[in-house]
Amino acid sequence: MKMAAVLLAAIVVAALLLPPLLPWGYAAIDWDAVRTPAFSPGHVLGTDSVGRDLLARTLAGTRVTLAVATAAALVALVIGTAWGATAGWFGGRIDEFMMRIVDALYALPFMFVVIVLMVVFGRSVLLVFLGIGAVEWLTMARVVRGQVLALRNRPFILASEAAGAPARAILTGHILPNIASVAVAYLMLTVPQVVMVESFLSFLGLGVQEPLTSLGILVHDGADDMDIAPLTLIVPGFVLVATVVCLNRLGEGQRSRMAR
Amino acid sequence: MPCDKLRANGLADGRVIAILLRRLATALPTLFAVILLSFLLMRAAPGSPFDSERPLDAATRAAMDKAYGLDRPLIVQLGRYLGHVLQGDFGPSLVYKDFTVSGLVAQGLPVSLTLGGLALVFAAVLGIAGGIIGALRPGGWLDRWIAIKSAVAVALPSFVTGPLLVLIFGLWLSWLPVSGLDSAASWILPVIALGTPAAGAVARLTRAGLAEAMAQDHVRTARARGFSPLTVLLRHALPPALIPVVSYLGPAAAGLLTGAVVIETVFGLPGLGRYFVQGALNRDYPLVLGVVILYAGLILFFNLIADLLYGLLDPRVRG
Amino acid sequence: MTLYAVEGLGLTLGSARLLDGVSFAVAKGGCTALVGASGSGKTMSCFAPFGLAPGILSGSARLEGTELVGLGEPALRPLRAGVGFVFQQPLTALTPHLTIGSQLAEAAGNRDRAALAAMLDRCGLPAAKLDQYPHRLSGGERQRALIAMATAHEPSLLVADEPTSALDAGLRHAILDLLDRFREQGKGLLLVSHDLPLVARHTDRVVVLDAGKVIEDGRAADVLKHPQHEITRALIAASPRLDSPAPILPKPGAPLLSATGIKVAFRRTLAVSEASFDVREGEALALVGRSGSGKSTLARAIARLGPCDTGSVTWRGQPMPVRARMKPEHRRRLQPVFQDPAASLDPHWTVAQSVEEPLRHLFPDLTPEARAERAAAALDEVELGTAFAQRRPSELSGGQAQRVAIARALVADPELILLDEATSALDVLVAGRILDLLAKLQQGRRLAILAITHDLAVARALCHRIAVMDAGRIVETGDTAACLAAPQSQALRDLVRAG
Repeated sequence: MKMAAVLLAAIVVAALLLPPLLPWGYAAIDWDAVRTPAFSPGHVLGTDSVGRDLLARTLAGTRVTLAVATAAALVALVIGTAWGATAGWFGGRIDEFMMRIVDALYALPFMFVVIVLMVVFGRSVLLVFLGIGAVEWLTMARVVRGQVLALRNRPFILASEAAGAPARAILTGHILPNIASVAVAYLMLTVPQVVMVESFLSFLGLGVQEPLTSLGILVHDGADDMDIAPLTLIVPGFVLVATVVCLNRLGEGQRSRMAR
Repeated sequence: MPCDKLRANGLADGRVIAILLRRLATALPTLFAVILLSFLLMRAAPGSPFDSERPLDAATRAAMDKAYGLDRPLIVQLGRYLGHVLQGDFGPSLVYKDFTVSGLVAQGLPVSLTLGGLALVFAAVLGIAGGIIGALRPGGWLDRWIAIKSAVAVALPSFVTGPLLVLIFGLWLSWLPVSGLDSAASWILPVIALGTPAAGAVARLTRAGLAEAMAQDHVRTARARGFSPLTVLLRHALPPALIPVVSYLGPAAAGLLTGAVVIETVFGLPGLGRYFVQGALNRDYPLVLGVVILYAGLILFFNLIADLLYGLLDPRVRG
Repeated sequence: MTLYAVEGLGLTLGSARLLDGVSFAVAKGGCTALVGASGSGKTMSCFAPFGLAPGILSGSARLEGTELVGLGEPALRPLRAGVGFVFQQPLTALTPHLTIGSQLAEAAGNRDRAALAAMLDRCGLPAAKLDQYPHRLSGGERQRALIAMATAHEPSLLVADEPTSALDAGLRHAILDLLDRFREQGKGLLLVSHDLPLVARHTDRVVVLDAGKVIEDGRAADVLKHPQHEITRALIAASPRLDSPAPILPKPGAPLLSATGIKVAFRRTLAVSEASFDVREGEALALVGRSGSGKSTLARAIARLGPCDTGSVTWRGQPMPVRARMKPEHRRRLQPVFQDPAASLDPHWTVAQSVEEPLRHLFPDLTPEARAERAAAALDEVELGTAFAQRRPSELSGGQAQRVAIARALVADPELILLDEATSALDVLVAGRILDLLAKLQQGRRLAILAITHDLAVARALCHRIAVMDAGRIVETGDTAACLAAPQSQALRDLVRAG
């Protein structure tokens, strides 16, 4: 797990601090160097089909991907926790109703709905957030609801009621702290999921738009050019996979520590 | 006799049927909601399907709208559409002029289903086998190696693996076909690209499930009885361990259908996903609607199967 | 004739020495019981020689002449098949997704239905159970099924680890009678139990363990009637016995709590129907019954900690709302103590925070200093020093955690305490000390007590009156001593006989 944290930290630090040190920005076009291989003058990893520095673009794409992923995951966390905690706390009919909705939504081919939304309403970053958040909050809701249900009838909650605590106090004082660690663990697992979803959308041309770039767009462009400049596919692909693997590892490490 | 078994466990009047009905009760409204949602979205979209390079003038547009029934009130359009859908008629494609949506679906669906099905089988077989092999010697080098491979597999999106496989096996090594469906071998790369993340997930779920099952009391009882480790693992530990796998495979089928969209594009396969993306970009309403409804139906169906399997693996669920 | 002889058995795990020089023997047709407090090593001594416990073994264990210590897993497996193991928790010991019949067939190595039916019949189960899954059988039936599986291949030695502790009192002797029948066929029985009356009735030899060492060993009658070692004496004293002298209880005063016609229904089953009782100031009422009789549901309904459908409750004549939320002034009067001490404290809160919680909500006018003072006073009363105030539940033992729970219940100065199986989850020695504490508090504070328990000896130790519940109804009430001496209802008779 330490290796994952170190690698991820390296990627993040590189994405944030390295660009000012590079000779070429991510959008700048070097007319003399189109599709150059690695270690060409001024371009450590070569350039893409238009002459933009691959390293700079990869780092820029990483920044965007991670930013979108973290924000969307937080959206999913807030919505999912509110929904799940309410369902778990009240139980009975309310719980059944709320979770039926979650079950029904789970069955939807969400990706398709998101794609349709993108096509219909144009490609805005806000829509990317909403779309992705809409897909991911379901799992969070289920997890939180399960935890709250399990806690609901524990003796210390009953004792708190006997001590006269109102529902609000019990939720904030007892329930939330006890589910916080699980919620955080799932949050850490949601971020890589969102990375995958965002990259998928970008790959299809439906996510983030120019001049911004993301790892998904880079992989798409790289796939187009891979016969001549394979690095344009391999580099962003590797960074994407490595980021997701590290995030997954960290999230799971957190989750197994919680289970104890 | 299986009937006696069912009856002995209080299933004479079929709690299984109750589960099925309950699932359907959720599934049908969901399907309807999907249809409604897609329908409204498409109608709400700015622009018209007939705008190609520049918008049409009012008169031509009015004529086209009338011909395709797009000038009636929304409710009426919805009603007519539903009526047709129930008869299996999704209307004509607005962009592929000579085809009906049902025709396109009939062409593309078998390809997509085969792709998805093969990927699911690939994922299940490879994943479960991997999990079992790892669990035979917990903590051993094979166990750890499989764990690492699974963790990486899960993080490999199909749109990265696909092009990479094309690059390596198609362009550099020329071992396997990378486009079209000319031979049986054409399926190999697409299925691997599509199924790898799911295989990784299944392997981890199986391994984790086995780890937990092996720590249960009943496994200790089985070991105390002197059964061989393989018997203990396969007969006593594996079925409950597979429960989370089955729960996963339901939504996994949905993910595979989604991923198939990309794979079909990358490998040039004439499946439904490709039509869907084209339809979405070209505002081909009937096509998009038809595909969405179809996929929703398929996913609901897979989830139902998963529920039934769940009941088989854990009798306690049946009551 | 010695069937199984263990000599100088040692078990080391890491740096801990779990067993040290343990020796005992089981004769053919005989029964040897290993007793001791939890953690004394009784279970380890049984399972370690057969490779079912982690750690490094030393010493000797000979089963019918074959030495077990030092054998590897492949050699142990066939030997294990020759021993019948019966475990503590029947539900989890059975594989949930296989029918009883297929598990029995697996154990017997024989699929013949008639033979399997005969095995079940030998243990008092009908042949129809062969097709059922474990979760459909009751606790007693499951244990019988486990015994059938353990004896299916006619082992010469039966090892039973607390085979009855998860069962109701009524079933315990029945299960042990069943095991006795196997002894008559010449099998040896190695029994682990903390239930001394049970041991007294069914075993020949008793071996007392403490911290991994044998401290006393001899014939059952000798050890239990004339214990030599002080730990043995403490164990015997801590086991509640029905023939101990009646306690001196404080005199009850004016009527305090009165419940009439309480009804609680879950979905379609009636958990409690038409239950009525009353409690006076300073009086202790025991609500006893088998598990599932509705005692907990009734008590929680009265305390508004669980659902209640109809009925009325009055406190000193004033009605208390049965379906609405309880007001703070009502809550102050009635405080609960639950069964599982670890689960009744929030794992993230310190002891001080948990004990002060009732004060924060029920006495909002108190300053933080006043609160802290009252909390400290409560901790003193339960014999925990101020050093405990900043600890968290994970740093407390079972007994200490239960004391904290009692302190929390006392801090609001209640007039009635609800004890919901407050000692059932505790080790037998610890439970004894908690009972002593409760008796002391009862005297000192003139506390009224509503004690829910399935253990009659607890009722005997604390309570003036007893109310017996069966299937949701109160079937008998009256003076504790009188009722126990001459029980009127079948339910109470069963409980008395089993205890």
